[in-house]
Amino acid sequence: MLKYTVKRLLQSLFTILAIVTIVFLLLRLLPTDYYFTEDQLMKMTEQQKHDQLERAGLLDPMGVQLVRYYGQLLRLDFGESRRLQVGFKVTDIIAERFAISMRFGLSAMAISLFLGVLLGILQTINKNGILDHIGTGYTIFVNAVPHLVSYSLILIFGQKVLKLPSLYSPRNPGPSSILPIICLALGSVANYALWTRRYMVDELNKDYIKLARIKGMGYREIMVKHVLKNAFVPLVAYIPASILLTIGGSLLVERFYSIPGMGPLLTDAIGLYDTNIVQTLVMVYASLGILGVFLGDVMMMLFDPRIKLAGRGETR
Amino acid sequence: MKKTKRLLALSLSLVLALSACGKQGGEGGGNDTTEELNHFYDWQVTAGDMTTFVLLNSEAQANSKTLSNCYSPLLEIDNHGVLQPAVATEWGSDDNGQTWTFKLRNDVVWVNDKQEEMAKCTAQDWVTAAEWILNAWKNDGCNTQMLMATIEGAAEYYNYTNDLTEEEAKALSATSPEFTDLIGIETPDEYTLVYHCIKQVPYFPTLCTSACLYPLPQGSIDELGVDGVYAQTPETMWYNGPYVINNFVRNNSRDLVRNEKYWDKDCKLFDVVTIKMLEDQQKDDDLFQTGEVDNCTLSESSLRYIYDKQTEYADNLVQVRNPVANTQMNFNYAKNKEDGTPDDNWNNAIANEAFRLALYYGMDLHEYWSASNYIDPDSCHVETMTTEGIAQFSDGTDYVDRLLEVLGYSENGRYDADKGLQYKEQAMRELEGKVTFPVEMDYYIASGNQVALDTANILKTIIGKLGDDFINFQIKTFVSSARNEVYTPRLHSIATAGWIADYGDPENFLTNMVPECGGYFASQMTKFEYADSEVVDTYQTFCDMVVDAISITDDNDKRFEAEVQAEAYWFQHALGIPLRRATTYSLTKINTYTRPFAAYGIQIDVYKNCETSVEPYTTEQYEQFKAAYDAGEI
Repeated sequence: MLKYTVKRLLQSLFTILAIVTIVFLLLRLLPTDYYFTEDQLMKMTEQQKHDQLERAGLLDPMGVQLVRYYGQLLRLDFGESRRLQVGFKVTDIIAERFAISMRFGLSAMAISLFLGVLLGILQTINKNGILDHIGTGYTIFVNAVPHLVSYSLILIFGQKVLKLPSLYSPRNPGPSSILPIICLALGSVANYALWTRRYMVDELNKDYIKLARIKGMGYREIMVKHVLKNAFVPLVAYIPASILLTIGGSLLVERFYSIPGMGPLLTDAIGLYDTNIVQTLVMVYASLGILGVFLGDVMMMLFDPRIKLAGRGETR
Repeated sequence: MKKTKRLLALSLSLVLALSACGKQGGEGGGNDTTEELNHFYDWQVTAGDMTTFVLLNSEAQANSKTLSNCYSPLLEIDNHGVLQPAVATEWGSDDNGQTWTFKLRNDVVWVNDKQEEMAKCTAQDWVTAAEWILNAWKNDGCNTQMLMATIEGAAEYYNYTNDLTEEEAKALSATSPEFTDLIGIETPDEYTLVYHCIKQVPYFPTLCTSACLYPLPQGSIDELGVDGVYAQTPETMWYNGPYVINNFVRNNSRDLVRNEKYWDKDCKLFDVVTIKMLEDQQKDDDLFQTGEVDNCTLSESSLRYIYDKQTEYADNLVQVRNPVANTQMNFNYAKNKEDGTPDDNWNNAIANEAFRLALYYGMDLHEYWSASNYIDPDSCHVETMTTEGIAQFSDGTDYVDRLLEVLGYSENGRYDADKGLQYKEQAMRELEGKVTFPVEMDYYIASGNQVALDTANILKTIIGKLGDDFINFQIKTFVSSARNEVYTPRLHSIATAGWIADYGDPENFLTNMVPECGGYFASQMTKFEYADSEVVDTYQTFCDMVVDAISITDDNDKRFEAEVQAEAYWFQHALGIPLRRATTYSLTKINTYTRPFAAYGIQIDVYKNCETSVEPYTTEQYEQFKAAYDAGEI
């Protein structure tokens, strides 16, 4: 376990470093005009622009810039925002936003996990029955209809029929959070239901279930002790990553409801060529993704004693 | 069956529970019981949220919409676009505009976000602001242009600080000899401010409405340090304007709360203005109708729906009075093909005056105007690049009215299909053998922008009416930056753009076209390098006329008349084509005839002296406002 963890950790560090380096180099390949706003480009003289670029170190050779950046990373200095929130530390900007994204994300995840698994179980129990068809229809609808359309339908229904606020308001967080959470949970409920049903039906068709039935084990006992428990193992692997990635927020939902979260941060930063924010966010998201996969492996091992974490050539 | 009923009952309960969470009505002012609104709900688009709380560091409306309400300038613009005393009670120049003296009131104070008095606001705060702007290490070079072009020693100080190290430059202040010895700004006493200009600057007072002449308190720099002020927040900044920022939530909302220590005790202010951030501009239509905001600019689709279906708000459709930019079509006289070689076909064609005049007279723009103003497209009709309210002759005649008189246009405008056809035939005759018709005209829009695509298609239809044998209008796209992908490699044939003035003189628009004046459009859009052509002389004549006009500094009437002649020359030779004045329809609870009418500067969004109503104004009421306004009763 320890050997496996250390190996995965080193691999992860290397992956993150590679990603961060590639993003750094790509951003530096863009023309330096992106460093300025349209107004600055109009009003500054060429000399002023040159001075600004020089001061920011953007005219240094690429290698020098890269080494300087690695040095900053080692000191955990992620720099300041230059365009999005001028002069603010990147860490402060991220810290200001991630909690709210996480709050929305975790609320939606809790709801969708509960409803999705419940729907999946009900579909399995009523396989080929009316509930199964309703669940399947819902899953198909959610996956087939573009998110923007389904979010708009929820907004119109919530706004016109339920009289719910159509924008998130920190002064009125309860009611104004309902529609965004429904939007966030909409897709996940369908996915959890889909996979729960699929894994449970798979388990139901296995020989050991037939044996249990022959041995006289009750239906409820079979479902709870064997089918649900085993069907839950593959689902468990995705839960840590899902939890961690709630930090990233949802671009669409957060923009739609004016939620001051992480969702639009990366696209806004890219749009404004705010390099320090882009680099830091890419690193954060890469780290969360890698950590999520690792924790998923650990969770699977905890849920299923047959799974062992080991190096290549061994069980897992 | 029993289970289905249970499920239905459960669903209904859920819907009812959610309904109970919602509120009847909205957050907007519709629930107030007073006649006027005390709490005004406005909106702004999220993508343009504030990037800084230092007004001096800002050149974007996303920042000034909030910050212009937090600071008091020397002079303010009233609802008729006329400069009025603000912190300065008197101002003037004894030497035809080279030295400007402002006498300041002594009851203006700086407060913090809790409205506790922090310091008195004195003339020194404007000197501190100038030092901040002109210090190359403090303000990123923002807002330097006007100061360096007008005030003695400003450029020298900027260059001086530019050569210093970061520590050395940040250690300087408005009292450092390095600054005071160079700069032409004096404070003979605590409440007198004197600016010494490089040349006579007749429009200098209008600059007081631009961010470059707003104050900055030295006390806040002493408290927070240079880096602290650079990254100040609503909680750490100091205020001397009508409002203080509370509850700032990025990308969501902010409150502007009335500053109880504001110097202007007689003005009308809201108790609170809440600015909500919206993901796109079309959302305000819905929010107005649910009562969550108190005004909205109607999108074309909403306007059509309300007007055609005569819905609930049909009687509330109003054209608000706001200064708007005039969009014009700029030509690229040195176009390149995508392989980087000159596009001789286009360059030869556009250099021909008859070719340009065919476009100038032959384009029927009604359809283009209808796209932004479905009900009253004619209100989008424009014949000038300079906007109304920028400058007035001594007899009160607006610069734009005089220009229209010189251009000799009637209310119907310049469109003349026959004249357009005549010029087309003349152009095709004159260009025979030099140009292959139809000429390809490349127009670039942002990829994925449906509104831009719709507008481009309208332009294509309009230009197509000149004949398939004349111009082949091509819509092309760029990915993220028009400047980098299109204008710098000069791939476009035409570009459309508008301009909001920084100060009150038509030179603000005219010099944009003049390379000698560093004009933005001249260098970036109509970069003129095409030699051996009549258009060289025409363009140069225009440039000379502008340079001569702005050199007149001792007689405003003479200066404006010369500027009128230059602008008229521009259009008489169709060096560019005016396209549209962006008028729109709104639903609103605010009487915009009472708001500051700022055709230049940053005061367009100041919530001061606004008359409001708890119910949306009707079309009829707005017509009465207009009549009263025109009669000088408002």
